[in-house]
Amino acid sequence: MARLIATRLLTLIPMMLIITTIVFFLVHMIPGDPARLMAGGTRVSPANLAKIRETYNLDKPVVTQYGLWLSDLAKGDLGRSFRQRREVTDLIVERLPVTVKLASFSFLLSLAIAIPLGILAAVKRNTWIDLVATAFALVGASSPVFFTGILMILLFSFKLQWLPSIGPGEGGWDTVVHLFLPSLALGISLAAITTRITRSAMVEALTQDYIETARAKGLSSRSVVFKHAFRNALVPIVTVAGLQFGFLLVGSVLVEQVFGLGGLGSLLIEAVQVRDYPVVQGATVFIAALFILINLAVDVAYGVIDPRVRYGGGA
Amino acid sequence: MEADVALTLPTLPEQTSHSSASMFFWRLRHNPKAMIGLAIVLLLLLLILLAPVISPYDPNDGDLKQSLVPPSPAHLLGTDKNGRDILSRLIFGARSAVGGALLVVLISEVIGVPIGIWAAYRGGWVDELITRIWDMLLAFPPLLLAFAVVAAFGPGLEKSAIALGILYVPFIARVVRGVTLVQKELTYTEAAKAMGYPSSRIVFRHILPNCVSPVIVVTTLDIAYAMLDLAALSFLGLGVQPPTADWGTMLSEGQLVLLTSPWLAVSAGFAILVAVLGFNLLGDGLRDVLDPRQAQR
Repeated sequence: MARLIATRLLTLIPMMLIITTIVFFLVHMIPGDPARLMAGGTRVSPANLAKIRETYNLDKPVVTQYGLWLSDLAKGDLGRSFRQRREVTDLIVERLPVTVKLASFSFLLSLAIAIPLGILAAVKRNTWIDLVATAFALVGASSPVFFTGILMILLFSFKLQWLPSIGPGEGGWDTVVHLFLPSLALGISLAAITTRITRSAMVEALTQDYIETARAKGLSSRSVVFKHAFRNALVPIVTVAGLQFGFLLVGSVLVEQVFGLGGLGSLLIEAVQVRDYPVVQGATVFIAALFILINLAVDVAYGVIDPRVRYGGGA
Repeated sequence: MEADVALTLPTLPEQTSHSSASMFFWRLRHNPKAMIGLAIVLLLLLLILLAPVISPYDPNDGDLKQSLVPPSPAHLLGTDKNGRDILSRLIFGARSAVGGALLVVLISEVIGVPIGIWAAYRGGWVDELITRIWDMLLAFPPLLLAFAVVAAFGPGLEKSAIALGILYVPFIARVVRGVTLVQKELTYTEAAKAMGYPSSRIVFRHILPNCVSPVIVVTTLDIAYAMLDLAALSFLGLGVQPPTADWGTMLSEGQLVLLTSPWLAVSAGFAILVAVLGFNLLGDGLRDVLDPRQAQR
């Protein structure tokens, strides 16, 4: 297992290098003079512009700037926001907790919806239950997450007045109540895909010979479904659910906008809107790094579920 | 299980001399998902083509005295805050939604199909390098990198579509590479090589035609993803810019008046949902039709 983790950790380096390179050069393709943009206007003295260029290393060749940026990045320094005049790392640390809570709640809710629904659809294949699960998966995957969120607000906040529609709450139970609707909106989008995969993996598992053998041995239906079929269906489910967890970070950008949560996603969008490049650069690289780490966690989870991976016999 | 499959799969026609094209259309007609999806997609195309004829009002013609009027016989879906007819804006909005998504897919195919074929046909380190790079890109949602592109070049439908089109390349290239790898090992390709045919002839005459079916399926599903991504960018104010009629922008405007005038956000949201559902259903249906083994699942 340690070898598996070490190998996967080594592959992170080129991945991060590619993403940082793409993000850096994209941001440096901005038309116009970045120093003037940073100064926030056109009436800036040449001395001030020169000072800005020196502070942000803009007077050096792009390749040198890239090298300096990478070296700062390795030290955890993501630069300084030229709009908010604060360290990008501080801004991220400030906004991260809301996003992590939102992503975690959504992930748990999506599993709580998708796994029972997918199993039920597979066990009751070609019945109305299967049809409902399939329709849920199709509609859920087709509805933009921000629209699902708006429908939730209309129904649960405005019509029924059960739950709040704005803000992240003030800690404890209040946070749980405030994050329930956004998490449900995001969770439904996610559950749509996981339901489909769970159903498909369970249908595959339930048609295997060992299931017939287990049934012939007189095992209860519950035991056959959960102990035998579900365990074997877990690898594709973990793969998709794991990848979805990464995509939650992007989904949360949209949900945060709908519910006014002010998390990491909102920080990124605000920065894109005002072209605050150090923040765009830093937040994108940070989210990308989170993605990569989540993918690593999924790989390690395979090892736990599937011994062939653990002992190097499988993918 | 056999009985289940027999129940779910349509019976094949008696004639066995059908051409593959007529067999394809026969399967398509008997696939409810594909037919519902096709109906929605055709309806969308009709809306796009006939927008100026069927739209009750000019989509950008506002009357502030008619601001946020609820649905009525004069305005079937009500009006927005500038007094513009929502139905007309929805009809015209189909143009940017579908047109933008088609542009994304077109760009991804123009780049992705040759790369996929080249990687598989060349093999060796070229294939290894290209596969590694797109595997890494596939691990990230295109929308995340699209934010960086918009930050650099500013908002707009064309810029967003070009950025997404480039970021969608691995999706199509991966599929084309898979098909090419299989085709290049088949006996007829070996025979063509042995007969001294140039690679270009083998690729264009034999490999490319075999990529058509999987590319059609991926294209249809990618249009659905692209519509969602473009709508998300517009919703965030980074895609289509006002006053152009666009569903994502309308949803964003509708959110601001959700409590008093929910019809704006709801109608725009449903338009996106139905359009994306149409392409998803058609893509799923086409996959079932072109790969009948999938239909048994």
